[in-house]
Amino acid sequence: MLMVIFFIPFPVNAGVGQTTPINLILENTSLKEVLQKIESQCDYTFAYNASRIDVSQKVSVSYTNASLTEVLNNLLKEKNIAYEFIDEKIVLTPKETNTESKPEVVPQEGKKITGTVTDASNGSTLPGVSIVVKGTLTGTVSDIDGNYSIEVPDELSVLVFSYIGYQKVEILADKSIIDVALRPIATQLEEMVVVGYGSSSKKLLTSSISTIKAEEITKYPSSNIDQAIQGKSTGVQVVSNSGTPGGGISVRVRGISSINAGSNPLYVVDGIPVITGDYGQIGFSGQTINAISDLNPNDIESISVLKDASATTIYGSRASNGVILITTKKGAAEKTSINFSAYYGVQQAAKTLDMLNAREFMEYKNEASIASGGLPVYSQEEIDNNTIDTDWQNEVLSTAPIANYELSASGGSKATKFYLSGNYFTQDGTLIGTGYDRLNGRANLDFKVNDRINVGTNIGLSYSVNDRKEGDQSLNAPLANAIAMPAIYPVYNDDGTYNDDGPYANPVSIGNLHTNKSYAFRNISNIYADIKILDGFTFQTKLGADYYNLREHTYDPPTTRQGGKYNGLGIESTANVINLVSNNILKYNTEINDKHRINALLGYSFESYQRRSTYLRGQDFPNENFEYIASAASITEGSASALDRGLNSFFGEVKYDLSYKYLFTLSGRYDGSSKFGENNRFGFFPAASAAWRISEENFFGVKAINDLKIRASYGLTGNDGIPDFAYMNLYSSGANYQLNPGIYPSQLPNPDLKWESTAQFDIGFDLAMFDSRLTLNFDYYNKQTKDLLLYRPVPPSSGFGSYISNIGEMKNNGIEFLIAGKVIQSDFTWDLNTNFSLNRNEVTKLYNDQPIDQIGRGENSVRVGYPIAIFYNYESLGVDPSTGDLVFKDVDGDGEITENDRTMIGDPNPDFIGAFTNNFSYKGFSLSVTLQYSYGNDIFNGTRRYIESMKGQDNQLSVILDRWRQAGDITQVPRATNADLNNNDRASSRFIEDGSYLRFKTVRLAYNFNKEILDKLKLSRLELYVVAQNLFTFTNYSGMDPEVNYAGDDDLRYGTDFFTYPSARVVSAGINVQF
Amino acid sequence: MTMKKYIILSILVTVLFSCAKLDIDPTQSIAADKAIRTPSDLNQALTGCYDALQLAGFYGRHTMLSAELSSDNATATGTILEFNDISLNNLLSNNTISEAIWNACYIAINRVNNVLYYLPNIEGLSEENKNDVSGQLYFIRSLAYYNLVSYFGDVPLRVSPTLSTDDLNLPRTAKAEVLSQIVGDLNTAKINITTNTTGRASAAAAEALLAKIALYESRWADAETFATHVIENYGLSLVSDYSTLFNNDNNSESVFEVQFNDQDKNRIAEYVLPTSLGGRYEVSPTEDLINSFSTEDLRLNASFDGFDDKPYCKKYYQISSGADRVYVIRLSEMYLLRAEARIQQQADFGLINADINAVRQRAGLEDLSFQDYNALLQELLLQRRLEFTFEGQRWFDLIRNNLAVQTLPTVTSSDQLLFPIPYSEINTNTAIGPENQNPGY
Repeated sequence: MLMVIFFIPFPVNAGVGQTTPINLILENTSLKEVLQKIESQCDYTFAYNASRIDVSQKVSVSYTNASLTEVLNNLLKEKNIAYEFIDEKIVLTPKETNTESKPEVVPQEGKKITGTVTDASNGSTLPGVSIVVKGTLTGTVSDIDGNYSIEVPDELSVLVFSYIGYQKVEILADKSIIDVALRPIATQLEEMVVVGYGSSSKKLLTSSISTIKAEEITKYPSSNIDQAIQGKSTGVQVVSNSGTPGGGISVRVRGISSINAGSNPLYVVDGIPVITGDYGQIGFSGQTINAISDLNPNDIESISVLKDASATTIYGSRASNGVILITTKKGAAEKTSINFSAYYGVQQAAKTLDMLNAREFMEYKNEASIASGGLPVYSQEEIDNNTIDTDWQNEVLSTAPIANYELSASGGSKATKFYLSGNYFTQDGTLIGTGYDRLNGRANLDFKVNDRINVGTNIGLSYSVNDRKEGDQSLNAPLANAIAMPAIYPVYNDDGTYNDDGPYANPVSIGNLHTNKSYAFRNISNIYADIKILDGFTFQTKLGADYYNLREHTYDPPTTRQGGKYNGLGIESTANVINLVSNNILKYNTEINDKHRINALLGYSFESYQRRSTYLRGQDFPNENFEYIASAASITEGSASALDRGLNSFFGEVKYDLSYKYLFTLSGRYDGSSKFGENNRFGFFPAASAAWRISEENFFGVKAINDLKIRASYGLTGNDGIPDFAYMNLYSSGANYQLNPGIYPSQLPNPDLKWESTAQFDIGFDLAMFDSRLTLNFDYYNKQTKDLLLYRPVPPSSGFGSYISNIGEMKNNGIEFLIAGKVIQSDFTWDLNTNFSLNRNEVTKLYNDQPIDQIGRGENSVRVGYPIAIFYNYESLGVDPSTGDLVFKDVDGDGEITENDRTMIGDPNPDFIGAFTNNFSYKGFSLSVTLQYSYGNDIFNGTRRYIESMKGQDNQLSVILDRWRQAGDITQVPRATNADLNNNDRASSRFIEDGSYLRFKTVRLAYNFNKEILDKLKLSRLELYVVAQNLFTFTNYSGMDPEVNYAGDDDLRYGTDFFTYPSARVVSAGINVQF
Repeated sequence: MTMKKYIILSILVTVLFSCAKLDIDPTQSIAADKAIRTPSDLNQALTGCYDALQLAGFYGRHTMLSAELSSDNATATGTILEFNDISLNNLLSNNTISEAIWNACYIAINRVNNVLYYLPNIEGLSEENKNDVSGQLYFIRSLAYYNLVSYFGDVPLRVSPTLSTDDLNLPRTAKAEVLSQIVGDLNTAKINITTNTTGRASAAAAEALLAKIALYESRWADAETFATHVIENYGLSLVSDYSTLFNNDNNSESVFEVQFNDQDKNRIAEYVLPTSLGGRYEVSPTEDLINSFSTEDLRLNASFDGFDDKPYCKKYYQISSGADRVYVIRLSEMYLLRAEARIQQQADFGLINADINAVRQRAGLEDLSFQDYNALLQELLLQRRLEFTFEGQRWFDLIRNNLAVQTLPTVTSSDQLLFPIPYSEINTNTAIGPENQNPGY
């Protein structure tokens, strides 16, 4: 039962701050403090040269409902201080009416120096910059145009230019005109970071959080946020499971922490957890739809990745896998700006497999037949006169375009801020018949109703169309069929129809004739109200709705092989998912004695989730022109289903800091979910952390270090990612026979079923040196997960395959570090940035230590004492030169090769991952190169198991031409034999390959036009760029792409390639314009 | 001030009155203790047991195809590596097909055990009805155990449902004991079953299964008795045209079959038809099998086609609806079973010839009159082979008559006559370890 919040637009105060009433009564207070108090009551800040204006003088003031102008006039005039409003600042300069306030030293032979001060990053002029002759009190302030004029005693004087937020510059006063460009300080430590249910100063954080800013996200073309954050944060492993446009991407924060309950982090957009996952009902076995791909990366202001317990605990039972907080752009009370950006690029598959051509195939078939005692399949004439030699991979892969167009406007006044955007993204896949198009719109509005109340709304809409083709594990997949189809079959027959003589359905015909589209409409919106109740207390309530509508439509016309089987096959399915979230938070901030600060929050949240889906399948269509089930003669399947879920939570956090030096945080959350039975419905998750800013201590004398903080945290988080009703003893419907409905026992009960919980310890430090020119962040973490939700395999003779219970334990520990430095800073700049993450996973307990084996095509295994999802199977010692068969290692030494000889043959978890970025700029040009790497991850090349098997109908890899043929041959490929009594093609280390790679992930060259040209064009920014993605990949992996997971997001079917769609190399050109 | 107060109030009220429900019921399932309480529930649970027979690991596909591939009737001509291994009689214990057979049979057994458990407490049902239902359940369970024993040998014997995780680990029980259990059940069933619908268990079916078990255990006299009873007492008769057995109509020869329809389909047609007809051509008849038919044999063209290029079985052809039925027992098997039993008892030649000729006549062949038991046995096995192509019999015929090793070139040891106990069972069942695996695996 939900009531809608009404908000009545209040008459907005048209005040511009200058007319805001000031109320101030102070006795004998320093001018500095008075100015600070005035600052807190209006929207301006004071700028002045403290060496020229005595702000320590004591004053007494009494203002009641006075306007700012009145106050300034009253306060400053009699002290001979002039003031001027410049943008958001009030610049104070001493009036030269009184000789007593003149600067002390006026050199006799004074030299006058003039010049202009500008901002080095964008060329705009800087008013209010303080310019002082070093070692004296002589100084001045730049005017509104950035011009200044100062007298120096001699040529050996040094001028010091300083301005808040910019790096100080000292210059020898050897010329009469000196123009200076000031560089903005690396604002890393002064910035605010979005954290759970609020934001915090980065300097004062006690937990481990990575942030990614908007420029990093939109710099490189990507359809999807997950893709955009790859390589940008330590501790986060992003793997593009395949090159499927709009397809699912695996994101793991600090390793895999679960076996069955999912390892995806929680995604929160503007404070509201959003729906993620794959709601597709048409089995694509492998490549899934990614619900997070509906968000427009250009709308994002920043992403915070919460990694340790202290940061994530406030999300309680869903936080074990980390939390990704996404904040969308807001307007700002500056002038309105309009942005237009666009890019267009081409993609191509970086690598294809080397398969046998027609002649080689026919010869191989003959040899195989003769070797098993048969006759040659093809006569010598047939081989010599054959004209058909189809390069099937070439037929289905092609260069494909990708483009994006974005228009946005942001701006506002004191009372209203807005951000509006519209975006169109379109991508054709390199594989025939695939593509992803998306339209996004966003309106973020914030209103300041009055001094106490802010309200606002964020509305994000998206509509996407995904053209899909069946993925890997099917006989109807264009790529798989193209790889496995022998070259002796043509694409078309002489009469122009598709040739269908081959062992598999013609992949070009599937690509062109088979329709499979999914349409997703998404609305992620929220409205909020922020109310200042009393001094220090604010109450925020936010109501969010995430609505996801997915419609899938597929049609196989009777003209295709798949469709021909059923005389036309159509499937139509829909899923409607709504998640309503209500967050209600009471915050309290207080400051005691200018020394103690407390920030506390207390919140209550509930989520209500509803999913309704339908599924319809029809056969027997009149002909290929009728595509919808209305034309189907028989409806062979029709169903509808429903699912509801609920979550109620209480959470709280207290942050205490002492003098900005000693920082403590305590947080906790209490969650109740409908997924668990009565016995364990609620769970409590606490965390504590502390930090010490050593650099602020008086005893800290290292000048080179401007900021050093060490921090540590410990806490408990949970993972609830199991299917609903898993604790119940269930009978399910669907066991029908002879058109009668039937039920069957489907699930064994477990009333004690509860959350997985992870206890995480983190210790780290953040270091900034040389005025933040060099920054270093380091973390060590240790995660212990217990009560793993496991579908414990049970003896199939019980009639069940598995039983869900909380058994099992796993641990992850690792280190992360991030180094960023500004190597060269002059006209030519060079910044570099490297991040490195290392994680070690180990399964420490399973039910009776019984391993879970043979999972998926890679035959991954979960075993105690090993990392999760290792490859555990026979180890091949190579081909025996005398027999041509593989020799397998007899691990137990009993003289026979049995199941006991299976051993660990590979680990898909990488030893370490990271990225290395170099940014160069010179005048308006900038070059950015990012390398991304993963080392030590093994891949099970499941594709080779079929196309190197030398059995069956498949085309084979060229490498089989080197196979063993006679005694004495030394080779890696065993003999071709139909009988294969040695089972040479069993899953063994023969198919395990090193998947380590180093990739030129992005190379971007851009030119930013300078101020003069911009002024002429009346623009404030114009950038042109070209960018190449996945330019080169250095790897030993023989398959198409070392970044591969055939089963999509699955934690267990991990690191396996099975005819999987590879990622593309992309080259694009783009333009960014700001008006 | 008042406006502000109202806003705040309405917000607070909204917040406090909206709450997420945490007590939610599933919509496609029901809690077990509420599931089987009324006669209507019982009916649905019974339907669920028949549904288990349709599983791909069971009569939905693998039991029949595995038996054909293991024998000299069929060979693997498609893409599935596991079929290839079965065809070469060289399986690994993790062969997914043999695992599927094991799993499906035990799913059927557990479903039956569950219903039997709740059956006594159903109210509103007469004793006859209850016995009819229990008889059908015994039949389904016996069919599952019969398959398990035939494929795997000694298997765990479960006669009560798995209700919790307390009793998951049962050791292998000697097959003689398993068979003795099901023989007892079937004897009860054959008296109690009153249902007589095609596709469902019947008294005839129970008795026919008893005949097959007797033959398996070499109890020739029992086999003869049961077979005779089935032939004479249930109004069953051979159809005159062999090919009509494989159309969509019910017939008088079916003793027990598993039925499918387009909303509840099987994929056998998809697996046996050639690619030109939209199939996968995974399992196809051997040249040896085709050549074993004489040219006048009507069964050749009724069972197979595509002789010039890719011969395929056409008994399962409804690829788009997946509605082909799967025969478990036909009346003609009872004739041949009785003949075999009589041969082993060295009974009267006339009777034996008559039974074999009943099948031969229907196939358009001339009558025989052999006077030698060896020749009769040869002929009998040949007729069994030709009559029941792609019906899952040949493999067991060869084993039963100790002919597998000499007939099949890929079988060199009697170890290969049993499938391995699935790796997944050995791995999880504390009462069955690698040392309990069938020899040779």
